[in-house]
Amino acid sequence: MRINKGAVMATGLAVALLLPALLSSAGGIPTVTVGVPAPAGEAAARWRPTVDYLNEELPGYRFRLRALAAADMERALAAGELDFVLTDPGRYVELEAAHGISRIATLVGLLEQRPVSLQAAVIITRADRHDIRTLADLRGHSFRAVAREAFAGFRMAWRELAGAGIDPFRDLSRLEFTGPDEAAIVQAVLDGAVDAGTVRAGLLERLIRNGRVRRSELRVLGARHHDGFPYLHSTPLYPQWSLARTARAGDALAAEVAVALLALPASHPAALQGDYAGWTAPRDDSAVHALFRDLRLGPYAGLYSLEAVVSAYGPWMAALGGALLALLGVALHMFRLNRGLKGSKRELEREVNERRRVQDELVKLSSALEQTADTVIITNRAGIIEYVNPAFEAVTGYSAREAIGRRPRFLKSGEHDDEFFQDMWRTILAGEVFHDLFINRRKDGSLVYEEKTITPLKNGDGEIVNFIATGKDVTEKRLAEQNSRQHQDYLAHVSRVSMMGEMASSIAHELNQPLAAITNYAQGCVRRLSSNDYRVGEIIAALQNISQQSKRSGEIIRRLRSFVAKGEPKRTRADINEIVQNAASLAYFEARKKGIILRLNLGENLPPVHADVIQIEQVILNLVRNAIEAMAKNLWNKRELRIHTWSLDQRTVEVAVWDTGHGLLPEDQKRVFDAFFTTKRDGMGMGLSISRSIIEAHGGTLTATNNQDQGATFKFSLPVLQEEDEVGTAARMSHAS
Amino acid sequence: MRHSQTIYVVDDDQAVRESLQWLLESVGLPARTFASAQEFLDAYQPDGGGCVVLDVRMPDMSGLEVQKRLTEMGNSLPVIIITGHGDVPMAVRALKAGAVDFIEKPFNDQTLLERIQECLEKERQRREERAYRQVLRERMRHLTQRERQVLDGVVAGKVSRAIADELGISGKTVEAHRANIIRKMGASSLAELITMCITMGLMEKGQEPPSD
Repeated sequence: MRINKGAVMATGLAVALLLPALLSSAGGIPTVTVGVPAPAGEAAARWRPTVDYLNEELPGYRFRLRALAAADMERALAAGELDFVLTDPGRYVELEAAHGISRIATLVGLLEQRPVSLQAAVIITRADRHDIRTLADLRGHSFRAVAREAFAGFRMAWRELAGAGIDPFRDLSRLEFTGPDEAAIVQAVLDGAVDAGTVRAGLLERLIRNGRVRRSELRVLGARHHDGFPYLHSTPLYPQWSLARTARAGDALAAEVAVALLALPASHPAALQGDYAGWTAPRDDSAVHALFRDLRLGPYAGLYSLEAVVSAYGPWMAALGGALLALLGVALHMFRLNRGLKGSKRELEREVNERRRVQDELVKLSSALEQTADTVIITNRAGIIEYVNPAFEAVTGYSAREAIGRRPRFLKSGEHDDEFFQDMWRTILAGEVFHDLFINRRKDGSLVYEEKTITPLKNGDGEIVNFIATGKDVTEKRLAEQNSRQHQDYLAHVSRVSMMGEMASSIAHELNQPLAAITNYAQGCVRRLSSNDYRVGEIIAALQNISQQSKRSGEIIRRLRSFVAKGEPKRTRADINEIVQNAASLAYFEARKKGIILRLNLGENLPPVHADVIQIEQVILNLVRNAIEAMAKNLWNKRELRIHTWSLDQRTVEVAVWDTGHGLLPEDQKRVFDAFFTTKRDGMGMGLSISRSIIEAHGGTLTATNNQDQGATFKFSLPVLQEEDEVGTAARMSHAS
Repeated sequence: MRHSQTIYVVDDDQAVRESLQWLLESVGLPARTFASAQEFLDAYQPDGGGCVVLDVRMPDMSGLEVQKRLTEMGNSLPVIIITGHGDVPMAVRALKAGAVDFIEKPFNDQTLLERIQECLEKERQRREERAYRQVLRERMRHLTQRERQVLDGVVAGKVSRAIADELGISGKTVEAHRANIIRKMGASSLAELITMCITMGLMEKGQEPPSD
């Protein structure tokens, strides 16, 4: 009997449930209604192909699409008119709670051509809004979103704002909902029409790809990172839209629909038209629930709301409530008082400790400042000196009393140009550290070289409040370097002059060549012109030759002068082959006089070097003259001298001077570069020593080896010009000017 | 004879050798230039006349060596050495080795041209003498055995009778042979024949023949 009654009831229930579907069916095929959110036209175009697909796959049913506004959907669900509902995860949580719908499949959407079953939102402001760097900075600013109820279009962002302590409806200067055109929100932010806004993740990437937005124009607030979700976003990841069944759809139907949807390929017209990649099993939506909980929305709306409690249980609570509340109030008050007192005590203790720590720190710091050997100057933002340490007093000769209150410019020596200081101010005002060698003037007028570091100090708001300049006095080092360099340059010059003296007769010869040619041409002209037997063309040709030979003599003299000139040594970008050719031209006659064949074997496309051309010429000439000397006594074998240039690795260039002379004695090989070591009767023994110091000052090496068969090879390397060499040269030149 | 004389300018400095050629051609002297001694020796034909103007220091071969080689080639082309200032010892050595002259650089064109002209003149004379000797030797080959014996007697300074006695012939016959010799050698007198003999080196100058 009980069983029968149950069966009857079950049958009745089934009939009652099936009745609406059967009534609305045509020709016996049951109609299945799928509700999708309005707007109607858009929804129909997007989802109809999916519904058509279900009609094809499941011919036993007639699927029907019904576009519904939010309120209408709720009504239709309440009236049991829908079998399935397509909904965003936010609405789903509400409808699930209110109408017992349950998800059977989650949409796999397309974000920038990539399938994603998750979604997020991004909160943006203009990149140049230095006042808005975090979500919390949005307080008091205007904000734009799609719609109050929109899940991705607002609610995701709302949760993040709430997390940052901002109630968007209370703490923003303006909160605007401007509808589904999300690109317009991005534009409004860029235009400055609104301070910030939120849009769905993925939209920015599309706008950037289309060239409508540059990434550098926008700042993402509260940016997050999730593996496998390569779009800018500010929120946790939430599932995409889902299809949910109502109680009206049977289990079998729900299963069939779910299977059909999961099988839908991404290439199917339904997916293409629907702008999605397919369907997947329902994704975890706990994040959505967390959002609703956090925002006290939907099913969680009444949970903590006193109004809801009162309205629901008002009559019950009315009497009891007053007494309970009074009691609770007293207890709470006591508790708070207690806690407050304890808290204040803790707070005080903490503060005292903090102060003590800071004070200790300050003492440590200031004694470090007082005792360090480095100079320290602290100025305010305007550059007025507020503090100098004793090292400063010692180095500059100015007392703290004399320095404080002034600008550091009283230390200027005039060694730096305006640009140097402009560069310095630009750097430190931009909040960056400036580091360079300063040449300042002491109180006694002498120069002091300091390697200074100037650091801007910022307060909590990031504003520059002080500059602190620390300096290391490197004057002694500089002077020592300068002295040794000057000494070396002096020796090199003396050596050049004496070398030229020794070569005077060869050089006279070299000068004689073009002079002889000039005389011959000139006398030939005189004779032809006076004999009246000439052609104008040949006279002109001879005169041109004369002028050419005059230039040649001029060139020899110029080379000579520059070689022995006592100018400032200076390094420039130079071509090693040109240097070799110059040196060879000075050595040519010396070689010729001794019946020596001088051959150049110059590498092609050699990288430039950074060198003092005259000094390197001097080294080559010195090596060549040594080689000539070494071959002087070689009567029987051929006398040949070769200069090779090459570069193996583009980092150094190499020059080798190869001869067929007597070679080096094993015991001399180590000593040849020593000062005053010489095997020549009339030599000073300085040439090779100076040559080596020149090459080493250029960052290269000079070596000597015996050849396998006969003679010796002297080889040196020079580093190839680096970019900073040129910059350095330019900078020095501009500072010097 | 001048047209067959060439001045060979050997200098490794292109400007110097070309300007020299220009100068020489200004006074109608044909010149050829060479950048090295070897280049010159390779191109030189032994029958060519003229002179060599050579820079004393050539990297590949010294002036002295060039002279030696020329002699080995059977030619005594005169060599004028051009030296730079301070090379005088070297020039002296070149002179001792047979160079005809040396000129110090920078030189006066007049000096150079005069020296070259002199040198060419001497060379021309030497060459003409050589050719003349050649002719005389040729003529001598046409003398008979007996005429050769008579000439030997004349060259030895013997009088006709002594020659006749030595050869066992009459003085008249010796006289007749002598007349034939003078005719065959193309001389016009005994005195000229004697000169010819000196030219050919058959007898020393000053070794006067006896008068009959």
